[in-house]
Amino acid sequence: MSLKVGLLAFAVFAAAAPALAQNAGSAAPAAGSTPIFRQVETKYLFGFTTGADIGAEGEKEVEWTTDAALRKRSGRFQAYSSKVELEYVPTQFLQIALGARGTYHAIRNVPGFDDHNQAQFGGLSAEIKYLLVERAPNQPYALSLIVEPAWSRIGGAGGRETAFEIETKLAGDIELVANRLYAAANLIYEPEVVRDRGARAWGRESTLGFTGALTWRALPNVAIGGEIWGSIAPTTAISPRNMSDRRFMSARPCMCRRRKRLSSRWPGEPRSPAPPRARPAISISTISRVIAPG
Amino acid sequence: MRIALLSLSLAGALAAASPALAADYALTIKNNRFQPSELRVPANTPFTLKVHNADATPEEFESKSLRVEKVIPGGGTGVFQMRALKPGRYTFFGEFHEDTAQGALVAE
Repeated sequence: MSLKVGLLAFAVFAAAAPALAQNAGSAAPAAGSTPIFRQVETKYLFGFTTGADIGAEGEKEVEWTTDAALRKRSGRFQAYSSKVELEYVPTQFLQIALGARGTYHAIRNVPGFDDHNQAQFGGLSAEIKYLLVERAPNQPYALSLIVEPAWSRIGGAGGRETAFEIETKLAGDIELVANRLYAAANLIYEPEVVRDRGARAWGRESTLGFTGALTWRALPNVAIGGEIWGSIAPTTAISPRNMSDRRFMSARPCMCRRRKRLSSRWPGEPRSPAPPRARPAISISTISRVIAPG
Repeated sequence: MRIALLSLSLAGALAAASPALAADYALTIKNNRFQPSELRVPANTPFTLKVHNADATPEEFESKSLRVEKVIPGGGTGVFQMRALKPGRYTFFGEFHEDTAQGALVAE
């Protein structure tokens, strides 16, 4: 059994206010007046923690997320994993996504790890997010169930492997102060089977995890927050090398998340006649850094 | 004859049942504003919202709390099948003319 805990600080930025903002029903602000904090979707407000909201029905987005692990203690270790996801919201309660992952590893002279300097195709994943409890005007909390099956062909330290996992997450959040202060928590269960290249036997691992986050919108398009996370692996039957890779990566000393919206329109649908008021292409960026990995 | 009567009965039953399942409510966009700007709808009952864009330019009807968004071309009508809403005020706006196109559904 292994137990890990950590703390994160993060900031969330919108490329422009309209990307985060939705009207609160009041009149539009006059130029130079006090900023108005409008409604936002919570799904990208919390760093590693996932908010409960899904997008609007019919919404289509491309999301790009990059995790980076950087160490200098002995030798050189740089590991990047980028995932591109195509998201679609077919109903007012369901969001689905398909993703592909690429990796880049630059590892040299790190004890216990093979040297790598290459970019590789990392694997595929899918995601189903169902809104179990929706937020309402007199109900500031929401709860979603997220199931993400994934196939991976590259391990955390760049080695070839074959792994299948199903990350199941219960994501809840609450608006503590309307449009300003938010809290969220995730409960995670992740069973996985993995096999090293050339090996015959499959290893198994299941991980229980949690994250909790608090986010304060300092400005309409800038939010700051903190996060605590932990995980426990109650059942582990993975080869020592694979386990070592996973422990190393799970500490994730630095993470950058960037979300880019593709379009909410089908081909042929009209676009905004007023480009300056249109929603910008890049909605939210998040940068997080581990303060005290366990 | 029996089949025709059965069909008529079925059609009548469906016609009678439809309004109870999803009543229609309408909004109009004119001069880049919603009319009415506040629309009362029944709480805890699914309904159909029809948004007609009377302007010549397109508008995107959007709401975070209603979880809908759709571009409505000039002269066109957007139809939204709304879930049963809990009581309260749900704001919406027109993304292309956000300064003026604002409104709310009040579920009660």
